[in-house]
Amino acid sequence: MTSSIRKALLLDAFYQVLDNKIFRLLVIVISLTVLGSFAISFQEDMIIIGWEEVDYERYLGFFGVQPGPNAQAAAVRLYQQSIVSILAGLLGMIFCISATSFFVPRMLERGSADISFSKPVSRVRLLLARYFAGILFVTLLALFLVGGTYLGLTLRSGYHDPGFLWSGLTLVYLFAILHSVSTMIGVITRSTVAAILVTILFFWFNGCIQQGWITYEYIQQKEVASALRGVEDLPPGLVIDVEDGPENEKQAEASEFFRKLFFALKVLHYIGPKTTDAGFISTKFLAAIRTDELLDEQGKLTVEAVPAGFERTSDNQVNLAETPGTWTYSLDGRELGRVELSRRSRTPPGQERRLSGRRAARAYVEELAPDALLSVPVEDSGGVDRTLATFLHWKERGPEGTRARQRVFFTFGDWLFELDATFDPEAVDDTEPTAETRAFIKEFKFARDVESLGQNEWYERKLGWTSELKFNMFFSIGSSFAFAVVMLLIAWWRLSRIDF
Amino acid sequence: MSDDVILSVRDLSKIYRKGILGRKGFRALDGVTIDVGRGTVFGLLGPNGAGKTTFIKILLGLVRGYGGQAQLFGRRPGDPRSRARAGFLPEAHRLPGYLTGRQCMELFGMMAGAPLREIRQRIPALLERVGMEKSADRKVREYSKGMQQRIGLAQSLVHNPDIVFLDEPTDGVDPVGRAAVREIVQDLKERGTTVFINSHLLMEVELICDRVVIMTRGKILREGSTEELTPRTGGVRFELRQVPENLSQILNGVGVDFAPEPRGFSLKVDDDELDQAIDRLRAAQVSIRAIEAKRLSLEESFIHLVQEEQA
Repeated sequence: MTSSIRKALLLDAFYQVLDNKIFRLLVIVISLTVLGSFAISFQEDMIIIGWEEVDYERYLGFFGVQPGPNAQAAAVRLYQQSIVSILAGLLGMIFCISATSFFVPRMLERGSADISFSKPVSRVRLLLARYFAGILFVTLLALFLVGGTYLGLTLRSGYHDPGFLWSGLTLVYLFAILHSVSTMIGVITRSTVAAILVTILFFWFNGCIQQGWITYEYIQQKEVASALRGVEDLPPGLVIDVEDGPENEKQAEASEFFRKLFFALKVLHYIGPKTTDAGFISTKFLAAIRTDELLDEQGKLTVEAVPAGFERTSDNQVNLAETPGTWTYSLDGRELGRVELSRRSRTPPGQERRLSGRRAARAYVEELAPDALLSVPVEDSGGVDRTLATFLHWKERGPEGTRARQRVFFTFGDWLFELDATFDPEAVDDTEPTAETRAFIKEFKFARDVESLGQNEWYERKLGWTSELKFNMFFSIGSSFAFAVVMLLIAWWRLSRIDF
Repeated sequence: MSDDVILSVRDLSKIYRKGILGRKGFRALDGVTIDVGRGTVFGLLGPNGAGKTTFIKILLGLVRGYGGQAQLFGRRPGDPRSRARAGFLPEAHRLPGYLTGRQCMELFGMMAGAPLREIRQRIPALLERVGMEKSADRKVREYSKGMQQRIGLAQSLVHNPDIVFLDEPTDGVDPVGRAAVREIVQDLKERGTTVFINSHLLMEVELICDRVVIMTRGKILREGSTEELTPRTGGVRFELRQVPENLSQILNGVGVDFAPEPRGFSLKVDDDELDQAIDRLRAAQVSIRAIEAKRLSLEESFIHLVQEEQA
């Protein structure tokens, strides 16, 4: 294929996309959305819309955004998620399918096909040119939406999250799969209406299949985990005998039906594209290229990130029971604080009762030397990855003068974690004396088991680049692309047999 | 195949299959054999469903699954190298409405493998030839049928092809446009480009084409030059300066089927009778302005052949 032909196909795709009325409409809608991100300023304590100041609790409290050091991040994420998942991922996708489904049927119309297919360009190339014209359509829109929103949030709200840019790729990925279906149907039926309807129906049906499979796996794994715990509690050697009877036969018939149903669900899941995984791709990609701040495999704790100003001075893979994780906090080149994270058993030697975070905190307070204290330690509570945490803060006199101290106690499984922070008093906001440690533990994640997680959170954590096949991201993306390739191969096979 | 033959088909046949098993079908071509030489203007005539368009589409790779042999520039039909040297104006074509006329020419020219720079050099002259220079930058969807036909013709020529297939090129074009099409075809012929024309307008084919094939029901009925396909009827038409009142008396007993005409007369004569008729007219001091041997028109010849075949 000469460069002229390649250029012609590319130009044709551009002209077709730019002339599309739905493309123009979507550009207007996206422009308004992007303008919204320039008009709304998410601050730490409030949202400024134009000149109006509104508080988080009143307007976003319903969505779980509470005032505090994490309010801005939570509100921005909610905003981003609304744009990517609902506006672009659902409504936008349906619009884009409607706008691009005519590309192939129109090319195959009598009169139009005669000119195009008489040129020295193979049929498969013309088909792929139309397919990629659709991808170009969505790529331009996704770039504008995600890039514009990112810029708006960075400039207006001062919130900088490069991970959001990956969601543009997610939208293109999702559309690439759906557009392959639309292309295949377009070639087979040569009807725009059929291509739109079947693709949207497929989008919905496949989403149900994938979500159904996730629910099935979630329940299965939850039951297995529950049963295993039950077995552990049973006396050794106990055998449970199940009696035969009509009730059991009915149950057996029902279970046979469900067994077949779940088998069909599994088959469809493995064959079909994993469209529901698309939402996790950006976070997984970001996680893959980002090194976790700290990993304590034995304690099942991952520190994904720490706030700006903190710099780790320990290794990033540590056994916190033996070596603490350490960070220093600096501002304008001045070291203003240190943080140390350690882990120990919740059952101290000689004791039977396991320690809770609160008991450990109170025991710690009792051991403090009273003559060094400049203020009485104050206890407060909070959470680390949905685990209860006890916060202490006080001021003490040390060799370097007055220091602001914060200490956090939290537990996970058999382990008690302690985060010890020492700051220069000028680095601490007295109105929120534990704000620094609360922000520090925000990105702490525990490797939880299925029983303590909701379905979506469990699935998101299960998905990974090194997970077993059914939860493996490579498999998810690879099988989805394979599906798209099969759709295009069917389209090519049919197209190669058409007499124009 | 000699070097001068650029299009050659032998015993070409095509059946359009129908039904799931393809048992039903329609035979569009049935043993067609044609050779077309370089620089020829070749006309393909036939009633609807004769297989003319199928014939062209096979050569351009638009229709597959045929029987027999076909070659364009010595290569199999559909070979990109031969398609790059061909221009095609399909019947009832539909150019992309999202493009302007100029963009159509640029894109289709590039798709034929020609560099954009060369295409841009050729476009102004071509636009002028088809009378579209003023509307070239309007979207195709705003064009009338005739304008679309003109731009369609221009796009088929923009990459300077060696053979041009024109399927009903004057469809929807006004008389002035038709004359322009004839001029373009003549110009192509002078430059050595082979032109292959499918048309229902037999007058045009007669005026333009060097060789003509008449087809029906997928078969060739007759092939030959326009002269061969429009034989002399034996009649002669005389154009006189002034028609005398006693014309029938002057020519009494010479030839048969005497028929007076407003500016002369026509008569069926052999060679001797023709001399006799001229002598008698001159003897009667009748001034002869022109003598023309009457031929069957292509249309008459075509209708005659097709009716004969159908009978």
